[in-house]
Amino acid sequence: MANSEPWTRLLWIKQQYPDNYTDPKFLEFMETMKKKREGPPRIEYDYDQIRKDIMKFYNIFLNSCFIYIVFTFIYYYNYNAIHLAGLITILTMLVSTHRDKELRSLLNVKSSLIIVFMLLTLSPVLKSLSKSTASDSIWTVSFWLNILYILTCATSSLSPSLHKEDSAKQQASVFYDINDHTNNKPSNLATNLLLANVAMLASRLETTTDVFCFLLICIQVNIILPRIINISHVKVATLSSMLVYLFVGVSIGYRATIIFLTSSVSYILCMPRLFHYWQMNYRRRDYEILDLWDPRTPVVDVK
Amino acid sequence: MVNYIFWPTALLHREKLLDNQQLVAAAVKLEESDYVVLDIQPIDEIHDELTYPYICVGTRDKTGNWSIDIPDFNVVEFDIPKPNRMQFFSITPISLILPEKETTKCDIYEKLPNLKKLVEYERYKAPNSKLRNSIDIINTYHIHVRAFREANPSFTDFKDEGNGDTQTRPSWYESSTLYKIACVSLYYVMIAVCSISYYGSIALNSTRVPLINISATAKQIDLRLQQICYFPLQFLRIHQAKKLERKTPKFEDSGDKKEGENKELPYTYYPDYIRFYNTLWLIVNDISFGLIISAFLKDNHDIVVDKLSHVIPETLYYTMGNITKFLADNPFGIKLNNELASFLAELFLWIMEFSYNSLLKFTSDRSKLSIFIWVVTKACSILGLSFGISLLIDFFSLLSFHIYLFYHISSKLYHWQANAIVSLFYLFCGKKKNVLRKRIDYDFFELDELLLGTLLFIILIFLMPTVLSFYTCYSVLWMVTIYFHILLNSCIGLINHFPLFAFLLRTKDSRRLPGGILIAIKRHKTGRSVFYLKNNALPISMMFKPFLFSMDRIKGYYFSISTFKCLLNGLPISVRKNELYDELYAYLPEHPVDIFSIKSKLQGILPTNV
Repeated sequence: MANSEPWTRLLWIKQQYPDNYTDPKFLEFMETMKKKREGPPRIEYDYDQIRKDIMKFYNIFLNSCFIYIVFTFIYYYNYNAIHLAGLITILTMLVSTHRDKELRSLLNVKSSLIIVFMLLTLSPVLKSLSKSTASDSIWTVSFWLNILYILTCATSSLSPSLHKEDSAKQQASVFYDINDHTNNKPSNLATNLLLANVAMLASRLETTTDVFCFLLICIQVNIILPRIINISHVKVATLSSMLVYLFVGVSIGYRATIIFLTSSVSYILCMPRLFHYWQMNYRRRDYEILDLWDPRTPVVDVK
Repeated sequence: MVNYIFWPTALLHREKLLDNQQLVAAAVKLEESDYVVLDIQPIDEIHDELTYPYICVGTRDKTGNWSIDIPDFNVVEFDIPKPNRMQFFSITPISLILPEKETTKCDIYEKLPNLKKLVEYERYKAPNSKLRNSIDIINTYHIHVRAFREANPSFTDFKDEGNGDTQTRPSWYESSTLYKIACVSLYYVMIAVCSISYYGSIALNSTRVPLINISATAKQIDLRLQQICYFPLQFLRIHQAKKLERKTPKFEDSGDKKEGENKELPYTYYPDYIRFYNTLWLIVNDISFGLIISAFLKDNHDIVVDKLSHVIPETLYYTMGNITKFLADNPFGIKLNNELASFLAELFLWIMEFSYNSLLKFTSDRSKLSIFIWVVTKACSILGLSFGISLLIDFFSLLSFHIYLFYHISSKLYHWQANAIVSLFYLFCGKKKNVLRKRIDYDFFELDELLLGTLLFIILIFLMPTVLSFYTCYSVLWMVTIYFHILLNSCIGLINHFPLFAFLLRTKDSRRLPGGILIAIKRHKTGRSVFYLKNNALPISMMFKPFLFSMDRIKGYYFSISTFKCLLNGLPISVRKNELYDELYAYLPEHPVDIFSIKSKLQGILPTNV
């Protein structure tokens, strides 16, 4: 049997080999795998990358904290929502004029009009939606939705294959590069979870104006701004951390702030090391065998 | 090839009488049939040779030992079917429903299409029709004996007790003038009645939405009219069977002509006889039941009216109103959306108020109810219980119309909402239904799409319990109504189509209802098995076949998992009384019989010389 194409370890491709075909190099391959497993770790794990990914979790968490901060301002402190919404909108506008091209590609006039009018239409409905439901159940559902959001958002925007120079470039600027779409778009599911969470919270508010403003603020802070601004940038992260800790400190008290701060710091400091240590010492190294058989998700429609 | 000799048991008795004589057995054999022994005679009385289709199969010496002239033979004994008792043999079970309405569809063939190919393959089909033809000869045994004796006069002198005389002479009254006048006047009355029934049935079916689809009473009237229209035709067929029995067959010339005559054998009309008398019995039965019920209703008229005038508004108006109000007010502690719940409750209460003012108030009025009960009583006593029940069904469907409306409105709402929620859930997960490939695909959505979709999704999810609670409640009520309908309709079906006459026949004389044949070993005689041809009685499941079909339908529509799925999806469920009971109408032809199409034939059997 003289086949021109070499045999590959791919199950879903129709090959000119019988089903029970065994590659002559199979034993050789197994030998190398065995050596690999027994020998010292060959792969150099990029500690920097791990640290960045862990930080990303933290940043998304900080960002989602703003939902609750705004909600508390409106719901408990009866703060005038219009001022806050105006402030945030102006901020977004400013950022957007800074990145004029970005505005056009992401938020054109049509869709922003649609969003605004839709919010205006649905706000009264949302306001009366959960009147008969107890607040506690809403808080619980909101909590779990938020957890889900952080997990899906973080996992969908992790970047395992960024090159050093790329990440360096990213690090340099507060804003994303317009042409780079790899990093700044969370999945649809994440966006929807966030929106569902916001809508649930909004249904607790008293007036239609509050509902509208709350939705507008949350959408801008959590969806639009993160697509323009790099929230992992040191300056942005520091600013949002300061705001969150300030709020926690003022509203709940210094003890909570200290606990919160300690856990955050320990998370930022320990997690990357722990993860790195686990990868170096406990991670199975024969996963390569499995990886060679099948990529985790077969690509069906290649554009 | 084994030859079978069918030997009547009556001749065995005769053989014993003719002890110590040399006997010869004469049989009939057509080209495509087995030997059927017709007669035995002392050998010295035979003068002439037997010609086709008759043949001498064997002789018996004085000691009583038969020597058969046929190679490789087997004897099958049988009891001669008595034609005056309408007994006969049949290879396949006879059909109590009309042959053209026999449903031939088989579930197993639908599941395994290849099985059908295999079964219907040429090679597995026996081209041999010998047994069939032999059974035909056995069924018309007395006719054959008569024909045989006419052809061979030397066999005629012995009187045969077993066969019975079918050559009935006309009775004395059939020649009297009064009888003839009565016949003719009956004939014209019948023509008038049948044509009225014919046009009545046509009228009931001719509107754009046929009345019989709407009203149970109309359907019942239509059934009676069709039965009346069908009577003359059935009578004609039964009459034809009697005439055929008196006729001597002329098949001696050749075997081929016999086959052409096959369909005209008298016993093929016996099922018609059964159907005809079954219908008559059922009508009489229906009326006698009706008389009992009407007597009861007449005695308890006031009590029934009192009860109904209390129960109708109580159950259909006050209870329904209470249920609706209960649903609007956070039932069982389930937190519903107040705005939507109060809107829906108001809508339903409004419909209820409307139906109460326009209908329920009117019908639950004592004087109106009294008239209605009076009408039901009269219908029961004059037309039969089935008419009384169908009037009740119509009354009930009129009264329960608002329940249907509630169910319909809530199921539409629920269906729409459930569908929207499923689609929006796909959007929520960032997926989209790909109609071209019939699957769910990942897709990228713009922010405004996501926002709108998610907000609507959240809103619909919050409103779902409210709609669901209304829907559950009303669909349960509607299902109860449907089951009540089915119960009453099944009662009517039983009264109208119970195979009563066939059932009695089976108990009395199962040979009149053959369900196939069985050839069993009777005894061993000188190293040779003698077989016995037996009749299998028609299985009870075959008699109730239309009922079983109809039960299956009911089960499929209202008591199955698919019903539950329909309820879950909010798809409409309705009373399909026509589809459910169509099988039961297999005793009747598709369209009513026009009396004028068989007028000339009917005239032919009128007594002449009036």
